[in-house]
Amino acid sequence: MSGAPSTDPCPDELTLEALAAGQGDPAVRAHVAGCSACSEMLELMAELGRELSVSPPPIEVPAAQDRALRAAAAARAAAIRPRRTGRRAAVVVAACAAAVLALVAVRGLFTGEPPHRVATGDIDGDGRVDVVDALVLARALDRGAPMPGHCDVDRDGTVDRADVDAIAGLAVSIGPRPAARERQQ
Amino acid sequence: MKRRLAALGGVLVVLMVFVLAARGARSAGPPAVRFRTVDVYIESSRPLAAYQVAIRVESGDATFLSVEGGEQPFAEPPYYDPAAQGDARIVLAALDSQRTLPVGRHRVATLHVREAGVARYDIELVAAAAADAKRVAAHAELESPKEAP
Repeated sequence: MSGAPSTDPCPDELTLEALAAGQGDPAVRAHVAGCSACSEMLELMAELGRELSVSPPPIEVPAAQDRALRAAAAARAAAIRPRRTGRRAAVVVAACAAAVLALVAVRGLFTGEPPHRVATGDIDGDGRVDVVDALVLARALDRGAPMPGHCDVDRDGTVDRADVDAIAGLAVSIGPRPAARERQQ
Repeated sequence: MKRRLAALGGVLVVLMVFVLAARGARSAGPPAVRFRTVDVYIESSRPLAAYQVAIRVESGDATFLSVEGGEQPFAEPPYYDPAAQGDARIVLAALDSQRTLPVGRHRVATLHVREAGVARYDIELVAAAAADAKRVAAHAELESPKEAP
């Protein structure tokens, strides 16, 4: 800023804005009072602030245009709604599945049952009971190998040839196998 | 006289109709029931120590009555569910941890069946294992023994 009778250097715009907002150093205020250029700038800033503080007049929308906008918005909302419903249903289903899983896990904890169970007689652990399971047990008996508890298929307290027969009997059964005949792995 | 001849002719016609109808009814009756045997064969490229087959009546009226063994070491009757007697399906299994069936095609069991008319059977090899209890590839089939002349 130039042309001011004051000998002090003119403050920058930020300092003048602070002064217009009611803040500022008294020394700056004394300079502005004696500097025509700074006074003019301060007056411009104050005027601009007054203009910005006034809210703009409401915009009048023609009735026909307003109806068209509302109809378009309603149509778009109708198109979006089913997707939201599906997403909500998926969230509900997922929540139900999580609840069921949690119940199963908690039940397993309290009953002490492992989640994986193997059918009685599945000696080789391949997921099915057939004559090969009986053969595996028969060979182990021939060798005198130690017998794990799950080989006692007939639940008589000993693992012997009768268990081989029991496994073979399960393998050739043509009826439904009793659900209770399961062992824990 | 003419009336008597006409009446006699009528009686003869009625009798002929009855005879023909009776013969037709007899020929259209249920098929003859017969009992026969069906052999079970297994062919394997490795000596067999165990086998399991599932057999069912594919078509026709037939039921399984009993089972007998085959060649050594499966000469004893195989394992089967007694509930299969009188049924149209049966599962057979046998094992021997000491001996094995020689390589090749051998009769492992014989089925006794009751058939009313023509029946067809289907066999499926469920499992076959060698002496080390390892599963082996094998082929199972049914064969009717040739009847003595």
